[in-house]
Amino acid sequence: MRLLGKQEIEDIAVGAALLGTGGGGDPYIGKLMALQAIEEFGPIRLLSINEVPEDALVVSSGMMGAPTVMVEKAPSGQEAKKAFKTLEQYIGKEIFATYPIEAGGVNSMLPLALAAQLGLPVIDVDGMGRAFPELQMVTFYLDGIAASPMVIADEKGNVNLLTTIDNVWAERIARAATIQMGGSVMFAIYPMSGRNLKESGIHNILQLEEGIGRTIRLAKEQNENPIREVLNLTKGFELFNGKVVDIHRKTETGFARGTATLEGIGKNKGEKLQLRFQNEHLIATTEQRLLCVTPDLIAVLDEETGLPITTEGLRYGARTVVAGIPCHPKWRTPKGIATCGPGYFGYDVEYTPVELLVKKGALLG
Amino acid sequence: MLRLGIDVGKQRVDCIVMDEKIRMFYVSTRSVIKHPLSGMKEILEEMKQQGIRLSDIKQVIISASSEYEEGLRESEAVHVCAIRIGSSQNSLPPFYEVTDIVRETVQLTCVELSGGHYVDGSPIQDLMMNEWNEKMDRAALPEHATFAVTSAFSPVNPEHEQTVAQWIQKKFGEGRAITLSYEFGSIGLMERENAAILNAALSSVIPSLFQNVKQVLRQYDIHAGIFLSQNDGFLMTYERAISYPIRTLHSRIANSLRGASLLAGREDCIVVIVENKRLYIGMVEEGIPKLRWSKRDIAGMYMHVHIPEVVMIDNIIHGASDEVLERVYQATQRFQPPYEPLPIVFVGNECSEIAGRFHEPWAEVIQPEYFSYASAIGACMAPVGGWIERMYWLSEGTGKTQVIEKAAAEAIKEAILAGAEERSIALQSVKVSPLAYVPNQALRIQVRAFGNFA
Repeated sequence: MRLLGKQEIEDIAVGAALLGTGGGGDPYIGKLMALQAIEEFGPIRLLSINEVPEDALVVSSGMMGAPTVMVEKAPSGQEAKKAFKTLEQYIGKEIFATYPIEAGGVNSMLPLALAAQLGLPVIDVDGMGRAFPELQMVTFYLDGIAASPMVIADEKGNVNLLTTIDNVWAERIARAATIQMGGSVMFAIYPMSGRNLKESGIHNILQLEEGIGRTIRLAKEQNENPIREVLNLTKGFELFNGKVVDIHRKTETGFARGTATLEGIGKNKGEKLQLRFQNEHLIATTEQRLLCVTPDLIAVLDEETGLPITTEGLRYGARTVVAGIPCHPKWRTPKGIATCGPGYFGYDVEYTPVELLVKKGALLG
Repeated sequence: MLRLGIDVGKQRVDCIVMDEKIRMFYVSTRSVIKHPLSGMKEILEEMKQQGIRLSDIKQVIISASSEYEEGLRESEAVHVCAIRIGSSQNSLPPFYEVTDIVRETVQLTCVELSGGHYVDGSPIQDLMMNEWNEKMDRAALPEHATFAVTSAFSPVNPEHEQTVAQWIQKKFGEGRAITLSYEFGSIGLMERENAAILNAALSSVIPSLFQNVKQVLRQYDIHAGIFLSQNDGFLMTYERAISYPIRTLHSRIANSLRGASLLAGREDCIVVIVENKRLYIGMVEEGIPKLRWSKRDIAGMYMHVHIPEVVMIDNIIHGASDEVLERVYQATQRFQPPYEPLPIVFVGNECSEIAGRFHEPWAEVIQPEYFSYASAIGACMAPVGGWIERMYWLSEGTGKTQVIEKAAAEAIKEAILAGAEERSIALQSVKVSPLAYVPNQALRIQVRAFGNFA
């Protein structure tokens, strides 16, 4: 067990933004909630998966809906408390610990704040190893673990307990209810045994997020290149060095969809990169070739500071490094690719691992 | 018709008198000794001796990049009543993360009321008069308290903030300073609340800072409109500015960018500002500084402010070393378009050395006359402007076009309130963006409107 204090929270927030691949919402409010919870209740207990008993009940916590709405509602922690209570009553067992559903943005931070408020430990495991927009896009789904029984709760006191026939239905019903409940809710989801979490989850993810944040912070302090250090840590590749020259955002559907065009600088001078996003960055291509595609991670980093840039924060003139990071091997199975590969998001491209794409590019060049 | 520009910096005060064709009649620089405006009388006396007809001055433009903390520390009793209207109780307190100095100076009374709105603008719950009366009686506020009112989703529907403002006036009299958070636009209850509280605190301080200015001006037969520079470089009347002091804290960069463009006679250019051992590199497009919404740390708290997009290079100890020149070059490249590079204009009192050594094979490099007065000049020549940021919920009968028109009308109203002449008003930068992660009909719209002095 480790104790997380304020510096760790600050570092995790930076790492969460990077693994959020442009989406996941601004971790800022989650970070503040975690910091305040530490002040009030003391440091947060972080457990490695090996410290979790095999038969213990573990539940993921976080938010669903628009982070923009959540920051307006100013959640208090009461919602999550109710959600956990309801789930405990239904299952008839006490919850041992909570864990984040995803690595990225606000949902990396919320379980930390909620754990402190509920007096529970947090387990260093998640279900994505990155951020994705839908509830069934987790490694648990690949292993046939059900999202339900799940609970969503709002700040008014409404609590919904759902039992669904599969995880896609869980996503559909919960998403519709979320809109009725004002656009953002807190959830308690994917209740399972410690054994299942160990077999199916992605281990040491908070440790990785903290490492990313710390690496960027220290590299800046020591005047080293933060991007190079981060890529070493994540086994990632620098795909493109470029300046944003055009951004198109489609507003019709209400989702943050769009395309950014980057003009190469430095070693990429003369080339152009197209970056397509739907909340998260999903596919990066030049005129000649594919550079990286979901479920592998595409992170856009500020060339100077090494800090990640969100899809909302992408602006004309920004000088960036686009990095590709291999996703967890579980995503590279046929079911993994069907769940959150290019086809699911409507791109007519075949998934190829980023390291192979990088190698191919090197052969051609 | 003359304009008097007073540019209050951290270390010095620049004073200029010019006409609208940028002909300079008077320039002076003084170091700040006590109160930034303490030297006013001497300066006006000197102008008179130089033969300037002070009664010809029709506008006085003050740009103060003064420190909010200074102002707060000097004043004795600052008390803000922060009223939060929403459905959730006991979440993060207001002013979380504020700097110690501000926390110590600003007395805070927090009151939570039931109410607020949903993302679609419909009410969560009605405000309750008896809850209000009961909680305010219990709060026992001092005479000098000012108010900051923040309601959930007020950028979509400000009704509850406005109602509470009326209640405050009824209960405590007309004279109390009231800040409503929706006027600061951004989504994010806590950021808006912090901005509103800081604004409410400053609004009880700022009037005393400028108290004497009007009086002194009148003594010297100057009957001019007084304007203050906003963070985005546009002006607003003094009367309006005292209600929005937080909008006037960071105008210096925007003013320097505009001033550089005017002095160099280049509507589109890249500007390098060198002062106080710092470099700022930004851009001017069609005479207007390129702005961006950014999260800035103000008094320790993150807030959304609309300020110029600049690259800052800090702590230039060795002047124009090769390393500094290379970094300046790289920073200018951030703004250069792919073809036909823009001219690069150097301003600021410390720019000469770097400008002299800076060579760019493809772009024109300019160091204009009066380079060290760029900020004061830019402020004097700025249009009067206002902006709004609102959120709208689209429904049948309320389409995108209608809400954009609605937002534009509100921005025009803001510009008129800031002191712009109605017929001269033009719109700039309408930005429309959707919300992520929910298929919905919410649009955020930001609009700026500006015009000439009324």
